[in-house]
Amino acid sequence: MAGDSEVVFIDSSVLISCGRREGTRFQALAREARHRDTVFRLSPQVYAEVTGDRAVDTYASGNSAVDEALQEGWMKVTESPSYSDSAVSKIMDQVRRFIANASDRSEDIIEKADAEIVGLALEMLQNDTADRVIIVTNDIPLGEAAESLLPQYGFDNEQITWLLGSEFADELADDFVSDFE
Amino acid sequence: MATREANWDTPLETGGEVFELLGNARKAWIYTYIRHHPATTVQAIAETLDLPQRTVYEYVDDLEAAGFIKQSNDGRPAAYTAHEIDLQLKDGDTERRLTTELVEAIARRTRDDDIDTYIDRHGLDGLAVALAYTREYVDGSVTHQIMAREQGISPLEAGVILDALRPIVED
Repeated sequence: MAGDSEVVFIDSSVLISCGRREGTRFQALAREARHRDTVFRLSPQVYAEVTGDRAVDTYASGNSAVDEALQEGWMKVTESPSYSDSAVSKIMDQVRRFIANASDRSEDIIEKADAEIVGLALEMLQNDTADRVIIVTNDIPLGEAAESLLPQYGFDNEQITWLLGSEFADELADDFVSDFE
Repeated sequence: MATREANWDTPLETGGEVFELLGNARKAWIYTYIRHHPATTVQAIAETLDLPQRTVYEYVDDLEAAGFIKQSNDGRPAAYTAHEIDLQLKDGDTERRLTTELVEAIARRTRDDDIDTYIDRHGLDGLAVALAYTREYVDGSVTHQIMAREQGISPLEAGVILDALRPIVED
């Protein structure tokens, strides 16, 4: 089966940001998906993070838009990465260590699941589901970890791209409070 | 690393006259608006904020008397420009810091419901902590999950407040 040539992962940090702008930022994402003729991938942890916390329903941010996007078919939630695959498991540990170093924290505060996107990216590159992955996250240490670690597994730098939400779609760069721009 | 080492146990919401700026979001908004739009007039502020000019005059007088803004022309209408705020406040043995950024965060609660909710849930102390995390976040030395775990909040709530505050520190 021929895989998608390009797979785009959207991280929770970006989805949360989009959820703060009722509708408009999700429309921008939907347009990007159409342009690229692709279905954005969410890892299971990302999906759980943006939909699972009913305790903060007090916030204006609704992430029901994620469920709508899943129904409309331009986003989908992937399986968990294969923790039993030694390369996948290893890179996720390396990501943990990378984030711990970047943040000058103990590794204990970083969970392996935080590295899920990078594990999934490696898996898709390895099994030819993708020959190019784009990771969209506002968490800089995660993006840097992806760009620095994935090439060590035999892939070219060009096959791995990290983008901030604001780099991925212009609308995501707008300030909520335009009076202070 | 400021977020880990600072002592955030002491409340910000007590103190002297200067704390008026922290408790009055509209006044904080006017200060912040002047800072972003130097040489602005009372009329321009009143129109943008949709407040009676009389109220704006009153707040502008307060801000000028406190030394947070100054008139930047000789003529009329008066145009105002803001000073940066970075005050170490002493309350007994406790030192606290009032900054331009913290005032802007408070000002934004009038326009951004997520900041308003965060202050309701975590107070001004919590807001100051979140602002420190936001600086680290924009510098690339923390993730939203780390903030969530260190502060005992959900990753979603951490992500919301980091996104809400980031334009302040990106200026």
